[in-house]
Amino acid sequence: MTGQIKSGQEILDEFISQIANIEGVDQDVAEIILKLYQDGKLTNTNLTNELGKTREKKENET
Amino acid sequence: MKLKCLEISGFRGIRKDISMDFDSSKSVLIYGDNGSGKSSIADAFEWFYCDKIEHLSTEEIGTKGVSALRNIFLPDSDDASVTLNCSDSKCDSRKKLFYKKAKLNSEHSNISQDFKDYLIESLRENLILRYKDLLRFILSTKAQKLEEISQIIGFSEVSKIKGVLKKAVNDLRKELKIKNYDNHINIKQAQIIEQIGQNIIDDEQYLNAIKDLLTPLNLSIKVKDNSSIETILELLKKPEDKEAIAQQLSYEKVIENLNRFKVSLNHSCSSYKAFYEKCQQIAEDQDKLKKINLEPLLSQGLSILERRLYEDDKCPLCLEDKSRAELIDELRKRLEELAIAKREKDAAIEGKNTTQRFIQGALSEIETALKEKCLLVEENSALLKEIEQIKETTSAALEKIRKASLSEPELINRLEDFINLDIPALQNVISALTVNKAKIITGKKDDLTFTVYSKIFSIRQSYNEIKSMKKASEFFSQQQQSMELIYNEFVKKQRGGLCSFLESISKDINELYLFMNDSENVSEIELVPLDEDDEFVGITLQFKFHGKPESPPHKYLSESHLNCLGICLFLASVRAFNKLNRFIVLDDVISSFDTNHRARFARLLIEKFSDYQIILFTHEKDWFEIVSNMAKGKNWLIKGMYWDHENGATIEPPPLTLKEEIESKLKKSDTTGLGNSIRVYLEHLLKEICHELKVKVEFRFNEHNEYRMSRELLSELKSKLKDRKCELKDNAVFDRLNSSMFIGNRTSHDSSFTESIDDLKVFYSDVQKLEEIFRCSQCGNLISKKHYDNVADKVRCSCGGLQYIWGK
Repeated sequence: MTGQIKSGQEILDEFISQIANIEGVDQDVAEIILKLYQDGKLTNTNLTNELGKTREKKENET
Repeated sequence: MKLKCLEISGFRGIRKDISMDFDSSKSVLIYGDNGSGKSSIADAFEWFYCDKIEHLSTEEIGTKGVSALRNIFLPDSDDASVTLNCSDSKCDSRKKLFYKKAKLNSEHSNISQDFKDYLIESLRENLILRYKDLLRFILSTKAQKLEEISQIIGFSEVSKIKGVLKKAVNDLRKELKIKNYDNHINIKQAQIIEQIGQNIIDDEQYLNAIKDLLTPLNLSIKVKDNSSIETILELLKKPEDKEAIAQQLSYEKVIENLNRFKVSLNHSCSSYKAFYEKCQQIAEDQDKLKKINLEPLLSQGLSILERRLYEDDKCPLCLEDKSRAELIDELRKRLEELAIAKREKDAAIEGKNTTQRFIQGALSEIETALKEKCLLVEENSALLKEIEQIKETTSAALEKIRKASLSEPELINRLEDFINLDIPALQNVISALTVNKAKIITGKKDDLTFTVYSKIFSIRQSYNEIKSMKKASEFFSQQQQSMELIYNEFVKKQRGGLCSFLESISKDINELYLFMNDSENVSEIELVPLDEDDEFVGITLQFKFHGKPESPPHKYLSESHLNCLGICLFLASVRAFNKLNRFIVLDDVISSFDTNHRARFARLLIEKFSDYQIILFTHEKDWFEIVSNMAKGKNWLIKGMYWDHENGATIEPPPLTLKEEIESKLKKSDTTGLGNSIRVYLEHLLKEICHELKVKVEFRFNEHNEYRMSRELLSELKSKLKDRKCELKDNAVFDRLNSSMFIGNRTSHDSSFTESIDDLKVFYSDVQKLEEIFRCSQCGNLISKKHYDNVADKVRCSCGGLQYIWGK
């Protein structure tokens, strides 16, 4: 049975690594989540801050 | 990982050292009367791996039960210890419990990182099952079941990340609403329309509008792009117009801030109205709000009752008579009501926070407006005062919403008392400012260059801001949509993961339960997830009873069947989660089983868990005999535990089985009780044979079913053999046993008959003959209907070495 079953950790690892492949997802958003997850820092505050920084950066670029 | 050797010293009921060599990691069956020290060994395992013993971790004992671990006779200067040697020697360790400065301390001799990692991994595995834990999962609430399974399979982390993603989606949604880009763009577009009488939606229209404005000036420079507009503005700029242009822009800024303020105020009012209505609903039942504080107490109480830590039919707090079942029902209902009340409270708090954000936004617009220099001129002093008054009212409202507390409903005012602004007066202020701004232009209406310059300046400012706001709004929406897509996919993934796990473990539970309860009316046992609004709120245990779906199990199943289900859940979880350790400890888990279930459980362990090392404790002599017979030749060790005052618990060779006892007495020609022992042995044997061949006997209620006499069983067995045209039907052993004077309980009656050793030898030899024809000498199992070959019409033992005709 254990072969077919994925642990919570496995489900998370697999999902986060494939976020960028979800149709319609902005690549910057996907990268933010992947990076925070890999660094073990995927919390609400960090995610909100990073999304805000990216928006600001894009606005300044244009 | 399997166990090679266990040594325990001065621990719980074990006064002197005991050691158990598992002889190359064999399974072991340990028989011992109650109080002989079996559970001390189970406790030793639990303490070694978990650093605490659950059943001793009560408030009364304290310190995770550690103070109850040392044997009471052990001198304070000596160490209590548990030593385990494993198949991988990297994980060997001696854990000792000792006094240091009058304080109890514990430490492992193995301090390697490998061993630390091994202990951490082992904590996630299910290694020990005790009788009292059998019903814990079955009787736990749906939320507790979800929590327990989530923790085991690491779903707590999944739920945590899901919470982060969901909050990010909601925050972006809320932030986008608060930013209100659409409205701000509308205000800017209105400013453009005011200047040129039409809207501008793209760069081409923008350039054309500028060109049109420049036409009367007949300039040689052509409008091609933004930089040419900058050049033209430089060309048209006159030093004396600088102040007028600055004043005009300042007016525009104030007007814009006041318009934005109006919008934020509207949002604040709608949000406050919803918050106020929620508060009114809650205020009607302040008791409900207070009762939310009872939630931890009630949850703990329910857990205690469900785990049977308190079994009296009295409320443990007020001591009023009430059945345990009623108390559990009542607590569940109250907890569900509290959960609803808590959701209402959380929604009201969310409403309060949203109102606060909008009011803060409105106040910030007013504060920005008040910094503009157009309001400092003498002619606008009255308007300045009015705007300052608006600021004060808004600040007061912000303070009110900050202080609003659900527990003090008197501080939560009606909307008109929360903020009371004269909106028409505000509109008048805006109109007056618009008029004053127009005066600047009117004063210079003959100055065509100024008029063109100021219009282009204003349009350029508004159009650029619109473009920038559109971009910002687009980035925001893009992130919000992306986060929503990610969250929705995550929900699917989480659901898929949990469902496939539950489906798989349900399959295992079913297989194990049906193995132990063949031909009964329970089937399709399933662990089913329960959800509300994308959130898993629990797991329920569902099953079919007489073909009809039912839940929960304790609605219909007997205690024995519930215990059986508990064992199956444990064993299925062992298969699912124990990736590192290949041993399990089962401490007296079959107490409520009848003979039939005991035999099946023994077979289940021996046949289905042969690749696990099983440490099996029992105080039930009958079951010990069943397992020790089945375990012969299957690499099991058989041990006994005894306790006496002088030595405490000791491990000895096991007690004699009934067969060994009979054979020993026959050898010594000791007839004392021998006839009775052979009769009991024959009865056990016949019950087993009849059970395997599904020989039907007359119906009897409950425990009376256990008291079958050999003659009845022999007669029904023979009749079944005849019916199935089995070659055994004419075997002489049946008649010999049937006519034997020992088959009845003759010697126990007031009779002059005395058993001779030779007569008993003949009787026992017939019993052995009977066993020989039904039990395979190779696999040790009886022939069984479970191994029926319907092509050859034969019944076989499990290895097929013994088989007989079994007609339809």
